[in-house]
Amino acid sequence: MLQHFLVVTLRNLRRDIGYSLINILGLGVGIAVSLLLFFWVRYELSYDRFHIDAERIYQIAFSFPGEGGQYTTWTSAPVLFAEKIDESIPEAEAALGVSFPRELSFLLGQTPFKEVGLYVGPAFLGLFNFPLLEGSRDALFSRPDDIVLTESLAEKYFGAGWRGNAIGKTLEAAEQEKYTVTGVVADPPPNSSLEFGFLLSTEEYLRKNPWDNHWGNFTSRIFVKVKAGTDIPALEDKLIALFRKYKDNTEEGTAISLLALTGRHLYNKLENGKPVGGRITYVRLFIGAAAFLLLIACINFMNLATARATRRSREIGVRKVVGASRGQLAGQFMSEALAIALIATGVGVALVELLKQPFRQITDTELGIRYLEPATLLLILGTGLVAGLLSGSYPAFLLSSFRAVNIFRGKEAGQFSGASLRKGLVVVQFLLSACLIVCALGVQRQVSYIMNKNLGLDRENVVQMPMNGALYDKFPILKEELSAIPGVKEFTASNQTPFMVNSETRDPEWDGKPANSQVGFRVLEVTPGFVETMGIKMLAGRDFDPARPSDTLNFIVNETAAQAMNMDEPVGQRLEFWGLKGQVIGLARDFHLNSLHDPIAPLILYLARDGRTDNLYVRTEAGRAQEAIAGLEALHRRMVPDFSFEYSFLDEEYSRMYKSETAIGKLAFYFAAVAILLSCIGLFGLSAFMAARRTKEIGIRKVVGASVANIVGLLFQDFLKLILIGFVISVPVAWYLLSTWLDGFAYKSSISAYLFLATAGLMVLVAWLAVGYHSIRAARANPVKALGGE
Amino acid sequence: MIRLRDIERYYRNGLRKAWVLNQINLDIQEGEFVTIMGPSGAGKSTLLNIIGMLEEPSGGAYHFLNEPVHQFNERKRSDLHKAYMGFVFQAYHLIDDLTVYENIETPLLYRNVKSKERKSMVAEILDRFNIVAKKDLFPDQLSGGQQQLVGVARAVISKPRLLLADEPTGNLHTKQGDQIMELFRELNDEGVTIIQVTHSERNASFGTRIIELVDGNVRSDEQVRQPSGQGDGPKGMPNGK
Repeated sequence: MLQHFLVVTLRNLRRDIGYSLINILGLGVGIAVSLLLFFWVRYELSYDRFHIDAERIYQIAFSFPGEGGQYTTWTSAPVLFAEKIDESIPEAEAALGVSFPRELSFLLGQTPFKEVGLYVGPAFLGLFNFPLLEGSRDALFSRPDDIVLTESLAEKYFGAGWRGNAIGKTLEAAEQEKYTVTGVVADPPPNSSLEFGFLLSTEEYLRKNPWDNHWGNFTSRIFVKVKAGTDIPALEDKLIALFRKYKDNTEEGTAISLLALTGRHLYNKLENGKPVGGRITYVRLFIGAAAFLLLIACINFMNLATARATRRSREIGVRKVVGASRGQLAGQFMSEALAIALIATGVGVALVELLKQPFRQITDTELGIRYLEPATLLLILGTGLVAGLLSGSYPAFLLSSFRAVNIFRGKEAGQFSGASLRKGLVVVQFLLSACLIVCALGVQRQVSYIMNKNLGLDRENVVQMPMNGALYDKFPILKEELSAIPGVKEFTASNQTPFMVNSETRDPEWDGKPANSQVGFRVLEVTPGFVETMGIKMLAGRDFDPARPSDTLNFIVNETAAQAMNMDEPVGQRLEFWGLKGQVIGLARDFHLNSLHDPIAPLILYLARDGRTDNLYVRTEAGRAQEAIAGLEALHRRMVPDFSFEYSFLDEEYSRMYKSETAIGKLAFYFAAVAILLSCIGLFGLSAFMAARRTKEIGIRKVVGASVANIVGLLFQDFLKLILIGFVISVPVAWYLLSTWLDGFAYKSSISAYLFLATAGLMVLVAWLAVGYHSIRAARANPVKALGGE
Repeated sequence: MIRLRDIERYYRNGLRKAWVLNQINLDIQEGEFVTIMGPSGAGKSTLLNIIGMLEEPSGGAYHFLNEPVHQFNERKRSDLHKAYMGFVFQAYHLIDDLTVYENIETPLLYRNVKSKERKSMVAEILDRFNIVAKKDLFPDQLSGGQQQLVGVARAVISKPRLLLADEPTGNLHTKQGDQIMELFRELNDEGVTIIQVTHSERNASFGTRIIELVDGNVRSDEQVRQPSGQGDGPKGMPNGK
């Protein structure tokens, strides 16, 4: 019986080769896109799960009470805390500090290379599952200068023959630092949120940064592996109690929360100490998009299959008469659908191979596809099976319900049954397509809004360069040399990128500060000329003046800060924090010192002590950036030869901030394109059947005088109605989806009518292309032929 | 074998009923070869479809082999149909995508006959109908007469006790038509009960009984010759269920 079905399926496929191609390609594209998205989702969900007992590893977060009952959450902690937890909390199997990624400059011969690594507690390799390839785990960090390298760094610095060779070797770093290699670990897999090239000890960190040996500095991350069955909320309470023991001036209401390591990647947005979302939104969005696209592809299949029922109704009738039961007939159509879905799955996998590279580039992520893995095969076959079942179920149900006697009477089954459902399905297709198009256009609009946003500072033609090593100290005496570089117009320095100011404090004191004030101020360390070089507008007062030594105690504030401190005339007002006691000398107009997701925060600018700080910003003359960079590189090589020269353009840094939005914009665009393409493939097939069925009607109309245009209009009109209904229903849905996404931005583009008009126009146009071919062909056919056959 | 009592069939047309069959009472014994005649629109095909369980009567009682068909649901009727009946159409209704062999084999598939047995059954019937050479051809490669031969072969492959034929020779030349009729008579002689609908007096002459329908009523019902009566069961009596 199955063999019989297969024979019939193949002969059917061959006979209607066009129909078959449409079906297989349409379904194949749907399956391919869904598979890509499912692979991506699976990979995202796999983050940090490769650690043994990953679900028992937590990261500590602190929440401090803030304005309006909200808490400010930090995922950092004082590094000293880790040891205390390890010592005195029995529920903690292990606790250790892991620094944020730090850069070091290592020398390979004479050439400096910047590498990123972590300063970690000794239990690091016991807690996390990064296999140690060489070295003894107990003797990795016995001395402060002991270093553990990843496989790729070992190979880089000690050659391909590093095995059995690297341990005990000395690795030279900038500024005459020397490290001894005590271990080599496997490279962290790409689905690890901890990324590093080298590991050094916390001890070494504290030796280099003695100021951080302090309970008030939240500069490290702390991970805790708890014993199985630990009551997490109770442990959180215990931890904050322990913390207070060492830092007794901890603000009332401060809380510690334990964030599951496995959730850190996807639930990276924290509110009041609890994960509230983040990247998981995109995961959900992608699952939704994948389901949408697969559904659209399946609808094509259903529509074509039921439309074609007209042609196959006789076969159905005959089969019933010769004894086929309804179940047997349904089985036949189901197995046909599954066979086609199977072929389409093959096509889909081929397309995945073709598309995975561009997809990885757009999303800047891995997909981790290994075809021979059972889970992968299961995912592929499962997607194919779902597509087949979904596609085949309705046709099987409908076609097997035809009554033989009606078929033989000449009532064509397809004409009355399924026609309205088919229309409904076309409406659903275009509804989904319209949603995707509106959202794609909306996201693109927001991305272009972001890219064209006037931040209140000029990010064009600015080169950013870190003050490596001795450069940091020598900056004050480099000014003339910098000015002499051709192409350099102005320069300044600050400790943070001006549109990524994250340092926050609640310490400022000013006259009239309410006792319970919990306003957090962003603070930015700058050198004189910052305001001017960045093109920030001063509303009152003046910029820092290098000629006035007292300015090292003075401040410039932004409008929001002035408001927060309730100062109508901030210039001249007293302001103190961090030991600086001075006054406000200037009021700067608000500029965007953070991502457009957040509203502009109160900001205080203060002068870098001794004129030194972390990053150099050079404004170049337009079109002369390369000259300026060459000059900077020469200077850098001369001053700090053991550091590699690195620079970036400020406008590129800005674009990089919105990498994920840009990627979403591109993906949404492609999704929408695929959706409309699939819908139109369906329309194309459907219009062929419709034109065929109405041959006689068209013939009659032509004989009585209808023009080709009349006929085409008549045929298109049917589809136009469906498309417009789909579009109208999509308006509120798309509006809701888009505005939900835009709500994540404090500054956003409007949802304009243009988005919807463009979508409607696009859909009509593309649908016209899909339907036009068959309509025109039908309309131009010789009516005598159509009628002569009767 | 067949007992129809007060069978009626009408279509609702707004408030009015359009009658196709009106109070039909009919008994057909096993082994008969019945011809239903009458002008177009007399309800011949409808009657045939009702007997063949493709269509339900609007009222009345239908007993087939003493089973009350009118009380059965669709599945039970279709089981009965599958077990006892074969159908031959005017337009042959072969499946275009299947070869002659496969077309004939199809009913066996739906009756879950084993592959080996299927092969021998199809081979036997191909042989008997002299169409062995055509077995791998598709319907559109055959003449009308040949197609109808295949149609009959398909109808009888499952050894039905009742063969229903709706104008089986309507699309054929006289000569081809006679060939089919000869075949019918042969089958009837072997004990298959046959009911055919036809316009042709000539075809009717092959049968044992002629029923004339006019406007949904039986106008005449006459025996034209004795059924040969070599049926495998007692005439008119079910062999029980």
